Amino acid sequence: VPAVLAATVLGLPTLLRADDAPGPPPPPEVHRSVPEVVAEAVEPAEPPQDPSSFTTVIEVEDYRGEVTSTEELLSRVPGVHVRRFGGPGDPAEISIRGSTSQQVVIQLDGIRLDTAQSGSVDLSTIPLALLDRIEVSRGGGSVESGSGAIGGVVNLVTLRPGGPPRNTLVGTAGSFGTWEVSGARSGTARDTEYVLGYDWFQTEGDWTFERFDQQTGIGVVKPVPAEATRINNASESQAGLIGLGRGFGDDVHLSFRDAFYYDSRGMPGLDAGSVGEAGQRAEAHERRLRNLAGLQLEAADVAGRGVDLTVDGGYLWEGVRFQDSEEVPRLGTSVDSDDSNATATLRARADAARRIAWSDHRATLSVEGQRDTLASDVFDAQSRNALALAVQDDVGFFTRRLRILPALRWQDTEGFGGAWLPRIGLIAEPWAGLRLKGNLERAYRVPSFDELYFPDKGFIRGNPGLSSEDAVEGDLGVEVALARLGPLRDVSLQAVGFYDDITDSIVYVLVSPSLVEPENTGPATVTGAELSGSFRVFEWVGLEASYTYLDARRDGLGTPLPGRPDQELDLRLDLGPPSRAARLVVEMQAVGEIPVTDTGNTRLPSRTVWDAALSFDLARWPALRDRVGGFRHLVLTFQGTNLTNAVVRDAEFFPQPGRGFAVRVEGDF
Amino acid sequence: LIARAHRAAVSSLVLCLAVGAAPLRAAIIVDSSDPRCVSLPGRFPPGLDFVPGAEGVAAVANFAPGLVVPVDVEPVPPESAAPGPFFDLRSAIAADACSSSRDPELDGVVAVAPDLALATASSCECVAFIDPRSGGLRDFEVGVPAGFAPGFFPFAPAPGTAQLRAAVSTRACVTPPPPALDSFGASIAPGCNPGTPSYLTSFTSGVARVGDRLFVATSNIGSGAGTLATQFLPGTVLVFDLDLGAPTPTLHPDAEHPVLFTSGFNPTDVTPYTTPGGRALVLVSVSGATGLVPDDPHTPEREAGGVAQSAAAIDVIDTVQARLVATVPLGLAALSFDRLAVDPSGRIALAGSSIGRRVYAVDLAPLDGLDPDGPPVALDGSTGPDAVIFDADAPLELPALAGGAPPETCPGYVVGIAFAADGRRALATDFCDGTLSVIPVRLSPPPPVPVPPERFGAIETVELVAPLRPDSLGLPRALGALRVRPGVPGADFQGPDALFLVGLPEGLLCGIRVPEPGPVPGALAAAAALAGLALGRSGWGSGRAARRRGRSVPRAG
Repeated sequence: VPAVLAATVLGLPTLLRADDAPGPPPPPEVHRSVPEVVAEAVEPAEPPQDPSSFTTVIEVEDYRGEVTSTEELLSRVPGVHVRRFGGPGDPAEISIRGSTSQQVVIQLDGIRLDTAQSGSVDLSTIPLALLDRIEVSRGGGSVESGSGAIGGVVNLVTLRPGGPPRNTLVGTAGSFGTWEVSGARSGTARDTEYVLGYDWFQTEGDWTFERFDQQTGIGVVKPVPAEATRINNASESQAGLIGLGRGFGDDVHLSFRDAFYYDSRGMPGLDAGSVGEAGQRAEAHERRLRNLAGLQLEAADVAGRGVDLTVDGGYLWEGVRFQDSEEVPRLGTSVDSDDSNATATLRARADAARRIAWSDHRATLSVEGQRDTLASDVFDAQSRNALALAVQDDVGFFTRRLRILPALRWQDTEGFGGAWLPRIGLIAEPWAGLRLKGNLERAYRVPSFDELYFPDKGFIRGNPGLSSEDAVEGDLGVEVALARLGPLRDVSLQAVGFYDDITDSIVYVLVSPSLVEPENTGPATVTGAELSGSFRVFEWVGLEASYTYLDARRDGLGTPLPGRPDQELDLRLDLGPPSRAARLVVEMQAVGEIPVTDTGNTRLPSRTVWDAALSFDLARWPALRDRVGGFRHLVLTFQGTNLTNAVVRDAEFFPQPGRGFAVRVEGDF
Repeated sequence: LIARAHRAAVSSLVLCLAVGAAPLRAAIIVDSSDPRCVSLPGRFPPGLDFVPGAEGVAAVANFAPGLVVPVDVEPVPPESAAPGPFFDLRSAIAADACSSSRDPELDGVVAVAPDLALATASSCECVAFIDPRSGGLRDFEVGVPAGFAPGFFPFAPAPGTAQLRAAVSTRACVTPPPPALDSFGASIAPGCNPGTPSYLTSFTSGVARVGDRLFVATSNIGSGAGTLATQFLPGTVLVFDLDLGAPTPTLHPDAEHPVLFTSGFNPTDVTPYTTPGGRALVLVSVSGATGLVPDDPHTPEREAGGVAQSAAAIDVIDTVQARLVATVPLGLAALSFDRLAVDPSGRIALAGSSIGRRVYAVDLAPLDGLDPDGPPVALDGSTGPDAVIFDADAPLELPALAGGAPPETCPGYVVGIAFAADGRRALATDFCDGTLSVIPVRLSPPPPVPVPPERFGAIETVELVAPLRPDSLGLPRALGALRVRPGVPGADFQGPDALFLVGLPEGLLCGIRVPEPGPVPGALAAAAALAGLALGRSGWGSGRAARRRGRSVPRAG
């Protein structure tokens, strides 16, 4: 971070000068006493639907050969905290800018993955092998995504169909009996673009873990046992992807996607006990089956009026069966639930560009309908309809160096009435490669079916009287994106401050001596800053860093919102020749203390975790190139995670694994 | 913003410097921001008791991890009285008491000697023997009389043998007397004793030592604990014989009367009591079957809370004969689950309600006159003298806090009750409102039997912690047990005279000095503030007090 800052500060004057006279370096006859510093601006990534938001785009291709996961990549995005409830294959959820996981919308190819029952997505159910890229928009997103987009929006883009024929095969073996095999093929046949993908994952998950001491007012309390092995933590998942696309003339394109996911996994639960294996559940098990299908029609320049039309239809079905034959202490009963959720969405969007007087307009009008249904042996059947209409303009001035993006969404959700969700965004680009951006918007979240209708069990129940969570949020920041800055290449820098005022936060609270139910608990304020940057030096050294500072507090008392660390620092060093024939990647993640109670007086300790991966692309080694003919890449990777064996927990009673190793072979042909 | 930015910069620098320098063994930090309170390692600490013979030391039980920790209560906040570290006792207790995969869930603690505290635990049903000086376990020689059936105490040593154990199982296979019905009125099926209605005792809820005997209450919940349909089986009190004078203390079920059945469902604690005439008794809090109130979908409010489903009583056990000699019926009172508060003169006993902001009282004067050889009598004027002062039909109502817990969901739960050492004030804490009610009691000149309700004066209430409201997040709340330190405050000791537990969001043990009631409303608040009751940042306990005469409804008849 200091290096990025220094480079930026030192290079900024030259950057400004360079922008006045963009183009090639000065002619050789100009003699200078100091080395010339050259800056070349590039266009930073921006999501087409929400250009003023602060966005991180993760190209999965950039992590070729590394043993990683969707949640792992997301955890390194500024502003994002991933709360893991175990190791590989165990549940994980996302928080953006201090949000809850339900305050983040996660989409797969633009279709929401969360169900109305839970309102959140388990990140471990999204195999990275089937993704092409991940787009993370921080702060709001309600105009595009409606309910739930308070913290931000994550769009997971699956492998793209079409292009030249390409095959990928990956095999990974790792500690704790972890295996993963995936394969994908994409290409075009008879004018039809296609992609097929498959991923199989399995882990025993039987890692040992250390349990925390507690430093209390009466002294140190030692857990017994001090160390335990995660039991009933084996999991297996299979995921498939089919993507088809076909163009009809130059202006019409039709595409179809189907993403299938199945898992079967033990749910060992909390390690809050003492007897046996620290009180873990030996019999609890979950099976999940999910299918998401989407059909998209894109038509450009409809009727020759310069209007582009996109129609999306999506259908998500997810069934989750949870069983625990072991009697729950005190209740004297076992647990067996079978829930199936379905969500159907239909969305039409029209985009048009016009020049009116001295301003450019790129306007969007969209209409969207959604129906959620829940069938369960625990719940009464539930359903909910929602209808939304949204308009947005992207008004450009001064050859689009200044852009104002007003937007408004009206959404009517059954049972909660209509809500107006305005937003105003600003993008100023005084010099190429330098952007100032800001947003002010309203976001909200309609309660989930669990929160509303969970049946009264005596000790827990839903609350049909809940109001929606409401938020007013804003951010302001600067982005720099340069192809070159002196000796640095691919320089990017982003510094953002944000503010989020949330009312009616929904929290499960004890409301009677024996009953917990969700309640609207009053206002909270989140402020923070995100700082991130990356560059390469001499093509051999790449450095990425991101830092997030978060101050999430309940109004009035000023007590912290639990579950959010106040700061997180990620560093990534990537060493290797430009050919990428060999690479050494070292990553560090430091996470501050995490408050776990609503006073903030109980806190999980801070930690620092180091990972390292050494990979060789045999197809890029001159001596081996001929022997592996046909491969564009053949990457062999050795990787170590949590090398210092740090004790890591994001939640008080959910341990995470210590040191682990993996070997991976990836072929691309 | 500048301050925050500066703090962020400094802390990020510290974070960078800390990279790779993680401590060898990380620890969860548990603090208290309440100056009266010391933080405990888990939520909902279940009990505390003063250790006899150890001046100013209390034993505090912790739920998870399972601990009993000695605490010096003289300073504010209290401090540990042993160096530690303290180890989770649950697996060691389970190994000796139940051999199951269930963790013992500590329910409470009773200190009976300077070197012995007894902790009751459910789930893995037992009474554990703990040294209150160190918090460590003690070994007893636990045996079972030779004549017992092998399955009578299935987790105890075989009949006729004894073993060194740190806990004694309270699982007994019992056959209830006819008509052997559960709280739903259904016949109890054959269980641990094939062919006859039977079940294993469960939900160990209280222990009392009287002389050489232990009396252990077991609530015997059949199924659905904590749900809308909880099945209660007939309540029991187990009787053990104890010899603390032996080189290794011994304990075994009483050979003649190992199990006593209570007059109603759900015995939740036992209180030792010696009459002025010297008769050693045990008073059993028979709370009665309780249920939970589901929400009524036809009302805009969200109902919750509890409801009494069977009658409550205070049973009287003669400890020498180990038999029930009397019962004081209290109606649908749903007694709360802590021990009774007995005034220092031994004249009255108080109990709280688990479903309302109510206090019940009985007059103990008739107990001296009970016929030691006669059948059990009902001390409500029917078959014996009337000992009822406040019962379910005419309770002593405690004032509700304005702006306190919503009455639909949390209508009150008198979770702790005790007498001040002077005997002139009874103290009651409300889980829902987070309040301490001070009830003046006048027992001089000696009142008639039963004590007239007029002897209970105007009640003043002080906020100790936050009420149980959705907007109380971030504040200490959920009061637990309350104990008053023996001795005269200011003379025998200078520190707090009352200790109470807090359940959320951290477990806390707090010490306060209970102020004398003032002559006018508000005096208590002023005295409370002077006594250091104020909570500082939270504002709770900042001196607001309500004064109101306890409302007692005349009893029918």
